[in-house]
Amino acid sequence: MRYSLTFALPDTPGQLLRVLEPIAKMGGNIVSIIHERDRVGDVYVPVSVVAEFPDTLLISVVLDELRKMGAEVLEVKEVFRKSSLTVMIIGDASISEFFDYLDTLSVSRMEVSGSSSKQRCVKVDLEASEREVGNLLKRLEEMCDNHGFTLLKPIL
Amino acid sequence: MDVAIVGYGFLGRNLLTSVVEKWSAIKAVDPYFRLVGVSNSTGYAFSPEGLPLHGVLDSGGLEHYSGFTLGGTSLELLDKCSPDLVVELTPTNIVDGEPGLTHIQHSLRMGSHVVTANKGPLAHAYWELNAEAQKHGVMLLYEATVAGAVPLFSLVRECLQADRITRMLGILNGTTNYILTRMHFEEIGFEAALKEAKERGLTERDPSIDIGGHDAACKAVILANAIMGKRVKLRDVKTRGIETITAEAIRLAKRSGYTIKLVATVADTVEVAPRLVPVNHPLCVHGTLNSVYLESDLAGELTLVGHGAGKQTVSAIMNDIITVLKRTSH
Repeated sequence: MRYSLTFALPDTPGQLLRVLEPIAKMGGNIVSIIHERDRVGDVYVPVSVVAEFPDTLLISVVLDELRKMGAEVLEVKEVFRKSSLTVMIIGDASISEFFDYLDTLSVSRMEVSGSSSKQRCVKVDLEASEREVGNLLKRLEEMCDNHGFTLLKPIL
Repeated sequence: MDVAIVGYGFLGRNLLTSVVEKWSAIKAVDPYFRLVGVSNSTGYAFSPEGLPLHGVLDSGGLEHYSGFTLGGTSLELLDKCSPDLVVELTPTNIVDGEPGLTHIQHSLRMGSHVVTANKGPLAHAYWELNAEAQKHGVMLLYEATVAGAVPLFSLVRECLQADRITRMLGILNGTTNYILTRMHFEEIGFEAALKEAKERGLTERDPSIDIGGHDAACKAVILANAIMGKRVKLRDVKTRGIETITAEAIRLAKRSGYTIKLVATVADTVEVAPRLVPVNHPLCVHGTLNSVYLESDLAGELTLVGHGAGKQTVSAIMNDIITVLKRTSH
């Protein structure tokens, strides 16, 4: 599980190292650190740390530890890895109908074939978090079954 | 070992040719090997002393063999010769698996080992037939039923004994793969590609068995049961064919580095459907070739590619026969 933690750290040496320790102790693997020390003279510096934990429960242990040591944690959020997914749909529908059907899905790109036949073909690039991919495909399948379309899923 | 061949069509004739060619290798495993009976849909030839292989092959059709019993049934032949091994090669019937299902059941019940290339009976009654084989202490081997000459079941049985297969993807129907390949490379429409496949004799008498995905579904059922230990029947497979695939769809897929293939997926669920396959994926084979992509906990990913039909299938049947001979020779 990947989490992003945003801290307000006192602008004094050693503060970043201090908050990284409980993360490392719980097996957190640091993915990125954004340390925005732009303005000299600010008392606090915002720091965002993205870390991957082997178990989702470990993040609460880390947060307890940080709280005990007085670190100010502004925000904690789970970071979902995005997957891009290409599917194709073949069916007897107009372009605007396809747009309507796909409206609620996270479509990043859509390509429609020229319609030399009655059957129109649409290639759709979608973006979803890894855990949402299964649901997204299920929704697409239902939509295609309801309208009598052929859905071409990628082999994942 | 006394052997009977039930079903003497294209595969039966090619098998017999290979038996003649490999005679010394077979005899080295079993000096007592002999072919005691051969049947087709119109009758059978039988000799308790062993049929002359060349005599049967050169007769120009089993019906013309001098000792042919016209009107005799395969079950009569089996009862008459009580073979140690029955090679069941009758045509596949995906509706109810017959007559192959009855032939195999009858053979197992009379204590004969069975080697078959007929997927119908296994798609309909995999677990029942295996239970019957176990009950009578005989072997039931079916390497040729899925992906023809590709040694899939033997590989898993012999070489992946500690592995757990977690997912399988397969291009298991050569006819649809030929059609989709022609559409991909020649940019022709589905109907034109299907016509070509028919002209080349690649389709079943009823082409909807291939293009509707039903042949691949039968194979997916066998894979699911035999390799992943599932309890799957044909009705559990979500099956879609390639009839709706247009030339435009193929072109659109191609522009993005994909092609469209009829893929059988065996995982939590079993499905046969046209899918987008990246052109550089190991599963992506062309023409009439078949491919199977396995994922297992220890070996990781494995891909097998080979001829899914035609005379190469005899390789799988011969290997099953020799496996029976070797295992019973001790």
